Amino acid sequence: MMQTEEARDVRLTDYVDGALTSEGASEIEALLAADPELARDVEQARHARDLLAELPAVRPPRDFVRRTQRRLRRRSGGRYFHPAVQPFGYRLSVEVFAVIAVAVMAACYFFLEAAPPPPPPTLQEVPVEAPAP
Amino acid sequence: MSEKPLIRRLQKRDERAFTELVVRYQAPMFNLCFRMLGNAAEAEDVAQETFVKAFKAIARFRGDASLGTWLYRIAVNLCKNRIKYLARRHHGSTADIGVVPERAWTRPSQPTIGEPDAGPERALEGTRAETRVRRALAEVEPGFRELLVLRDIQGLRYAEVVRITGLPEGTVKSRLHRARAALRRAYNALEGEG
Repeated sequence: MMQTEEARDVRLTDYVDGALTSEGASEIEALLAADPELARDVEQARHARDLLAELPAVRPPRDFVRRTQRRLRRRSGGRYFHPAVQPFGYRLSVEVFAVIAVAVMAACYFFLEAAPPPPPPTLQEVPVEAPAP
Repeated sequence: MSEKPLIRRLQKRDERAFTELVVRYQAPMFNLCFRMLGNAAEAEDVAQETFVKAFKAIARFRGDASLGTWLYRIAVNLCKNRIKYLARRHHGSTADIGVVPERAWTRPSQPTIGEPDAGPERALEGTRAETRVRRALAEVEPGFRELLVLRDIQGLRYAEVVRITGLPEGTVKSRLHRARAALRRAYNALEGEG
């Protein structure tokens, strides 16, 4: 026996979803036969459910993942998904890559400038022309 | 596949885990947001926000529900807030939320949801019917819309809808019955419009 409108609506939803036992469904069908307005209500609910079930899934834009990563980067103050370069297959941030590049250039400069100059040629090495007789 | 390793990695703030989360759940989250808001740009914004918010709050995720259910809960709340915000911005009118011009809700680069292989007339007919359903959905009050989207569009089980909405199962079912009837009435009214 249905006591309240809410309890009745619960049963009607179960009926539309096909979740009732055959006994429960027969009980609802008897109720619907006696109440055309309720029968129309149930028919509307069933039709609405079918309309919604037929809606195709809407796919997100192709670049959704990348844009979501970018949003996280912005929102985390750059902590995540920092723009990166991959010079040797390793992931390096731009700053780390720049520091390494500067260090390499500094090292090259140091070795070129700080290397001792070549020693001046010694006397033995200077070719001396034989004096004319 | 178990989602526990993914949750652990998310809790360690592994950004590759974040990407995995987005890849795994982008489709249902975007679809939910689109059906709740009826507008692709708003849907994308709210769906993105859902993932960012989830990543920030992942430490508080206790694992009582599945990760998907938890994301749904965040997305639904954000959608409801957005609907309120849009309603305020549009001078209290909710009638135009989600009612967008025929082709404004897909970008040219975005794959369409129609049936490209069907004949043009049939495809057009399908698009018209779908537009009418979408508009009818926008006419239904957000509390009802939430249930219609979760249960009848996303196809979630009642147990999941209960977890997401926080409503008792009886309330979900009774409201769903009224929501379906309201949608059908709105659909009929639009059919009359032409």
